[in-house]
Amino acid sequence: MLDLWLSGIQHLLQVRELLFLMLGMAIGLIFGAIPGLGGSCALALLMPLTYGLEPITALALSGGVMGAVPMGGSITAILLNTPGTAPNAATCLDGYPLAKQGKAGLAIGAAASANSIGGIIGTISVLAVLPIAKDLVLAFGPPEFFVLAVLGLITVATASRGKLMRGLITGALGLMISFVGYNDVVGGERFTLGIGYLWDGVHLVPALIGLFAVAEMINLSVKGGSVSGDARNVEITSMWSGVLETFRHWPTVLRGSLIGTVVGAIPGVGGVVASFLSYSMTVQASKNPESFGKGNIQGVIAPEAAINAKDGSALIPTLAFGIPGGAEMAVFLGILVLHGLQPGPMILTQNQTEIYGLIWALTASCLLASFIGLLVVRPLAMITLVDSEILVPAVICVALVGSYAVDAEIENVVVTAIFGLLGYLMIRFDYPRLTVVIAMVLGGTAERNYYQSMIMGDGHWSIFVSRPIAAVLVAGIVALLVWPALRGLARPLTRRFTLTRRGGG
Amino acid sequence: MRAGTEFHRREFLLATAAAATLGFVGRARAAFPEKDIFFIVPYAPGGGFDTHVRAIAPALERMLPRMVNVVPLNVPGGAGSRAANQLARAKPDGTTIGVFNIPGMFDLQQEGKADYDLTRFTWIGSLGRDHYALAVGYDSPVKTVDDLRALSRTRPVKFTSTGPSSTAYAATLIAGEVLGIRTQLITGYKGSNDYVLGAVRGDGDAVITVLPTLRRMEEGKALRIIATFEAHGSLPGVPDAKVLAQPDLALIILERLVAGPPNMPNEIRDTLSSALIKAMADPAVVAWAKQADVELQPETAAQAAQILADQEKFFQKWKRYLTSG
Amino acid sequence: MRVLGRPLAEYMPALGLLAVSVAYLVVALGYKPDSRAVPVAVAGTIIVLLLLDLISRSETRIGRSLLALLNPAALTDQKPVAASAGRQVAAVLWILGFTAGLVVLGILTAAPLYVFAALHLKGRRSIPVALAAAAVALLAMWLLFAVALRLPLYAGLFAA
Repeated sequence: MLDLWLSGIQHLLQVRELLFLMLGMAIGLIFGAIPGLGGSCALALLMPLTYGLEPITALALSGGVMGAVPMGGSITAILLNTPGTAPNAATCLDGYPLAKQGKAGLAIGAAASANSIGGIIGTISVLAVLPIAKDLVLAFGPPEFFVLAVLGLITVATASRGKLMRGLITGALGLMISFVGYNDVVGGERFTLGIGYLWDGVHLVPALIGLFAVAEMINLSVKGGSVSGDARNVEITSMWSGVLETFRHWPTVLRGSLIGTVVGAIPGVGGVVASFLSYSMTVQASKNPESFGKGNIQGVIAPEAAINAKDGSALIPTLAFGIPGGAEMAVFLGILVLHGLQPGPMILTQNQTEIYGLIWALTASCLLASFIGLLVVRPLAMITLVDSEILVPAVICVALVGSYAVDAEIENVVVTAIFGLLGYLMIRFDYPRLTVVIAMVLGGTAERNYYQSMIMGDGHWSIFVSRPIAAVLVAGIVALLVWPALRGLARPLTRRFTLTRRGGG
Repeated sequence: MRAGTEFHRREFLLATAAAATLGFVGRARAAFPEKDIFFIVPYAPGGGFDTHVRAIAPALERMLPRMVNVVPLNVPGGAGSRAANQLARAKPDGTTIGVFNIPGMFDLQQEGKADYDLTRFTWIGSLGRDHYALAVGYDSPVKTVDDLRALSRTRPVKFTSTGPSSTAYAATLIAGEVLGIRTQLITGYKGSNDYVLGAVRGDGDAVITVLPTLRRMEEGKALRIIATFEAHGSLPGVPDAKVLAQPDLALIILERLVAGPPNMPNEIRDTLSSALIKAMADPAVVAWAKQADVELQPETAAQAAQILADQEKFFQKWKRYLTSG
Repeated sequence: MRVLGRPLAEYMPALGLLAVSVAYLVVALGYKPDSRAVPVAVAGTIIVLLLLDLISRSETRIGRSLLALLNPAALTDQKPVAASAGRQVAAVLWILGFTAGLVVLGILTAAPLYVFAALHLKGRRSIPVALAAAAVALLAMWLLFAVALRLPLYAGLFAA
């Protein structure tokens, strides 16, 4: 096994492969930063370029792109509240408030190191899990997906502590939005009002761009000034302390990486779930949850670690059966097919060099991209000093046109504008945006998998507890719901106990 | 002297104008291809159709009378209807063509939900076809088609499948009908491969999908093929349509037909058609197809149009079994 | 007009959402049972929650204790500085205008136009500066789409 790992690196360490890796990384950073574009877009664009290349070189390029995209996305998320890619929307929640306080450097530094550590942990997990990859993928079916989705939804609800009622309201709103579209499990179009564009539902990336980028730009242009507003000086030199923050909060990094790894290994569940779930669980585990959303550095570390860990483990279903675990993987497999390879369950045995090469390329690119991100922090952080009258039109232009670029549908622009308005109203009237996003992403998944499970189980709910993993997850849900209540009950008891002891002693 | 110059100038202008007009008309007539050609793929990048187009595009560029770029354009959404609509509305000057999943694409049209009419597109050729086959989990107790029939007598047999508008969906329902198996479809899988993974996992009892995918799955001991719908089976020991005495099964085929917008001029259609056929004979493409286990099947424009008509009749015939839900 | 101790305006957010949810519920009830089961359940839930929200906004005792129980952050959080209605409407109109421009005129026309207008009319920058920015926007769009992405550049409602 070890020699296989090493042979993967060896193939990479040729000049040509390294050059293509760097090229991929640069492209990944740029495409990650621009909202609406992303890894799968960059890879699809580069496909013709790979025609004449050796498979291993094509993989170095692909890995370069995939590893760098999250870092690019986190930079715009932090500086402009604009998620470069959908999962980076979670980074906006605390990253942008930090930028507003003039601490953009701190945030980007933390993001860079969280990226790197998450990526490394993701890679190690993939390599460790490869022998049981097939069994792992086969263990999760519609019943498990349904319970996981419910778990995700509940976690987010319980994490909006202090805003439970409004969090649940926006969560329900997100669910309502997720039901729009054609659903072939229950049959028929719902809530599309006859609009063809809505057949596939409300497109997620345009909605997120609106909810975060446009909403914040409306807010900024109303407020005036610049992003870092009244902050006396932009703390660019705090970049290295940002890097160190990640190590200080090592439980957060580990938790984020673990969540990212687990979520990434499940095919069909995206990076958005990984990052938002990681964020929510960190909030829940924290001693002062109210500080989140206002510039808590852990709110940057948690999602960033999860995103990069997820990229590594998204390879698992792809490697187990040659079946893509996401859009980027689909394009990557397409590149393999173009080179005459036949991805299938035998991919691990037949194409070992290529696969290990990819894994190492991914990891290397992730580390390099973080480093590059750190190098450009100084000039980039200056963006937070630009006056809103110049910044807002620029960002709006990029955001709306980027939204169009997702799949060249002009209706995306309308969706972005509407969600921008919605997002602004939510900021204005203090309704959390976090729960809307998670609900939008998980709502459709939950309903779909529920009905699939019902067909599988012939309408009996027992299917959710007769399968071991699903049963464990159900127990987890129960625990999650019951635990806070138990804690609340236990507090007066412990207080009385302490009082009695004091009184007695 | 002035009069003379003016006379010359007017003549000159007239002559120039005449030459320009003639040249313009001449150019418009013989100029195909002049601009880049967009090749519409109705799915996201990385899928089977997408890779086919990308594999053939470079050869296609070389086989056209003039080198222009052939740019794959992904137009996913609406289960292919977005792409069909876009092609229907494009200019019929050869700058936009597309590949479609036939006969699956007829589903929306038959239900009256489409803004396009596939029979009015200008059919240019084909990128190839796939046959279907029936498979079960590798360790499934079901070993033959008869076992499935026996199972079907006790309860409906569960098949994992994609949604309507894919040929696999139609294939599953039609095959069930032909083979006398009561089917219950588990749909809702997100991608074209997720339902195959579902079959491996055991979400359902069996799955019907294209042969190359099932061959790979069998090679990896994930699924076992118990019947192929080819007229003459390519797999030893596995019954084909002839053995099963169901010739209709062999008519269930996934065709990747290439079309241009309605009313494309014949010369442009023929240029594209012959370039496509030559591209599929290109040694690099043939080598790729062999390695990637892809069946290339070039067709002339006339043959493609005929295939479409046949598939439409076939789909019509089975329409009553294909109601969604 | 005051309702239960608070001006009507303070109930607006919840009322707005309530209107949308009721409309959603009505539409959902028109679908067949399998399709409508979950959406109806969710819509019903949100309507109940919104009613609680409405009550919690009032100055009654039950309202205040609901708020303290279910949404205490609303009591302790700093209220965002309320900006003038004029500025908010203006900001929204600029966005909607740009969106409409993109849909009607297409990307290559609307983007530079918006950048120019936003910088010159709203930002009060000089014409040369605004023109330069618009030119940069135009170049960036063209490079990104036509050259790099090879995406068809949407050309507006009146494109041939």
